[in-house]
Amino acid sequence: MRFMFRYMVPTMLAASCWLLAGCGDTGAPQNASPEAGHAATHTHDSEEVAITEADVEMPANYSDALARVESYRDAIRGAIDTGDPHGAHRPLDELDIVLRKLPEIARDSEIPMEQWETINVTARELRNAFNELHAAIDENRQPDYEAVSTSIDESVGKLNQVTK
Amino acid sequence: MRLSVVLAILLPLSAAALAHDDHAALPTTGATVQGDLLMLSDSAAKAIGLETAKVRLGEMQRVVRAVGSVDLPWSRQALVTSLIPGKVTEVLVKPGETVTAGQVLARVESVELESLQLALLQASAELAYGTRLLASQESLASDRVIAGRTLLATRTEVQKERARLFFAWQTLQAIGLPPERLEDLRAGGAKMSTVSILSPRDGVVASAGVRPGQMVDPQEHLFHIVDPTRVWIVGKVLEADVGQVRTGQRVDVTFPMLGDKAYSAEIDHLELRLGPDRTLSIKAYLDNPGGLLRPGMFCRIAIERGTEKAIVAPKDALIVDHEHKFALVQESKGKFERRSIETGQLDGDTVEIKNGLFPGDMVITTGSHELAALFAPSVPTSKSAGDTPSAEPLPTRSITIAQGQIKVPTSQKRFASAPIGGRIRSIQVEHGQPVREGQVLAELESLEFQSLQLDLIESRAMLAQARANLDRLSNLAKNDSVAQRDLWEVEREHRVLQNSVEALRRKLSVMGLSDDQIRQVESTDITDPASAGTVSAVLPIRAPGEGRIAEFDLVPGDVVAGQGTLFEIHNAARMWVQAFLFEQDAVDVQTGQKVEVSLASDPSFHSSGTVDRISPVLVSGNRALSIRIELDNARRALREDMSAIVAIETGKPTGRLAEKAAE
Repeated sequence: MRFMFRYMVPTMLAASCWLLAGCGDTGAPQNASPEAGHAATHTHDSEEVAITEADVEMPANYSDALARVESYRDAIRGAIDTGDPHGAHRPLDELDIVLRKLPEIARDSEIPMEQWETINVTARELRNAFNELHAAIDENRQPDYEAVSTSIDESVGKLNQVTK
Repeated sequence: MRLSVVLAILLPLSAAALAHDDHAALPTTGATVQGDLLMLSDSAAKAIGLETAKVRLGEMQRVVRAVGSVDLPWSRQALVTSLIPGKVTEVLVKPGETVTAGQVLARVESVELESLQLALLQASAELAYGTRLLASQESLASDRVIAGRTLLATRTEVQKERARLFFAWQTLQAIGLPPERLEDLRAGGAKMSTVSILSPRDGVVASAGVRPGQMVDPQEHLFHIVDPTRVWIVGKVLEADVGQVRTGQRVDVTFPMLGDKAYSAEIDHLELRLGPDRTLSIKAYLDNPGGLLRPGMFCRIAIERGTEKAIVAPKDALIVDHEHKFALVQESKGKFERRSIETGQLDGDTVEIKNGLFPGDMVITTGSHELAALFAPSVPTSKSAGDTPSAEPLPTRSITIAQGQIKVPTSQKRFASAPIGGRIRSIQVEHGQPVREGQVLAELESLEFQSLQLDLIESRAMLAQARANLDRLSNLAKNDSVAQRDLWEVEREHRVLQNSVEALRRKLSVMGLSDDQIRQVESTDITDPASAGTVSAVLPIRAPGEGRIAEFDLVPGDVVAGQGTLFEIHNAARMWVQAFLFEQDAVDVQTGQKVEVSLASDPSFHSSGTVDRISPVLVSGNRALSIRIELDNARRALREDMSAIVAIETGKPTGRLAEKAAE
């Protein structure tokens, strides 16, 4: 019986997964987060060019990374404010990549270990906030920057505070 | 049970998907995998009892592990021998028996003992007679009743017998006969038929290789006395860990034979060279009052390097797929990423994360293995921090890489040897201890050494007498009052004794006695045989140069042969790296070229030098050329026979390993 579970269960689970994937669409299961499936390498629509880490010049250090984050934030907000939300695709993608790398950049910039958790958690919160905007753009809904503006600015402030 | 729940949830979903002919909608509950991302519904998460835990910053106890064994320190044991050959008449102790210092272990009957006692008695009788005769002749000579020549001959004889008595007395004392027993013997007491073999220390008889009736000689170890109340733990540290080990570090020692109990000790010293098994021996003392730890017993050693801050995750989060390790990291609610991780040390229920996770990451701890089965069995596309290309440049093609070994320069190695056969009376240094030139390392007890001193005393006394005879006859010869032949004879005798004294002086000098010490021996007053003066059977073994004790394998009581090496001393202030180059790579290597040296045992070690010497001939058999680089070793990081990697800036595209690296 134990043998059956050991070998059959993974096989059956994998089979279930394949079946769930259906025709290859990337729909998320119910209760999964709205931005689920939105990876950095994902092609959003015909206007968007898929980018990878290799397409983004990595910041030289933590300070540089924060400057980039603020710059991307401003670009995204500007695109949304001017009624060109699709123009925010590229900065959103690049911002996601930079934020994913932020803990590593902090480590390599010799930011004390005690700060890594704050950086990691805050960077994830930021990614989630921007992903909400990105999901709305992908779904051709009007992104509501104002709804996340405060939390974004607070998070950016928290990341800046680390080096103070 | 949990897996069956998963099946219960997912299999119906699969069935629902199959039944969905128009593919319009995907299942409303379940799991979706896309690359390294997993989307999991609440119900599926609940079904597998999914639990997450936070990756955090923790304290990781840094430990170097080694295997080892119990050994007996040299200072806790002694070998026992007889100083004279003979037949064992009695054995008074058995192996395992506890003995005290001075306790009689056995008795030996010896012809030599008999001869020495006889020599003492005869010399004593002859001296008594000669002394009386001399007193009588001196009064006659003053009245010119007897010839001065007769008086001188009697004086010579008295001096000879005095020296013989002194010799026999001292020798008997050296083999263990007490002075009061010798006085008794000289006064007409009974001769001793046996000599007692005494225990040199308190302890337990570990072995007694002797039986009554057995013939023994001074080279034979008769008993081994040990004191196991304090033992050495000898650990074998792998070369790769050597750079992390220091004296004074705490070690926890466990013995499989004794259960889980851990004994705590401190590293006392490290060997100066690696063994042929590429390990470094470390030694720590451990008290052993109950005697539970027996020499030879196997043990496991954990050497504590202290604690360090590290990223730690629950061990249950770790997913191992062949050579790859992963964790499922929560990106947001219901969304997880399979992330490649690099792990370090395990510590109880936690594992050190070297790359791939950061504090604050939430990882799946329950359900991760079931969910991991949903992913394709391939290397994840997401890159971990460890995948970042190294900033360190690869060796260029102008660098030749060679493997080598650390060596103590031959000019910096010294050996302390026994100049004469004997037995080790005491050892006064420890492994690894720094010593200065001339410092006493051990004491050797040698009857032969004592005999040489007694010979010198005797010859010196005879020489003084011969000098007096010669002076007297020379004066008489001026008046033709003595036959020329008599004068020649006295001159010959004087010359022979002079040569003998010179030879003995040189021998004692070679054995390490200073000129002052030799003069003191010569001036010993032999009128009282019981006064030893400066005569001793104990010879100091001195350090021939400055350095540290690299090696010795002795215990007190060890019998050593003359000229045998007893101690090896290394002055490791500077070390050589001896590297070997392939024949074709050797062409471009020249003395003076810059060299970078790194160690297999310590990745943080880097040192620069230049090629100092190139061997004029290839190593026979493997057609490799040996080169040497001299390095400063002030930090004492280099130990003999450590493996080294040598990068030589040749300026030419050579070096097989360099080419491989460049590729």
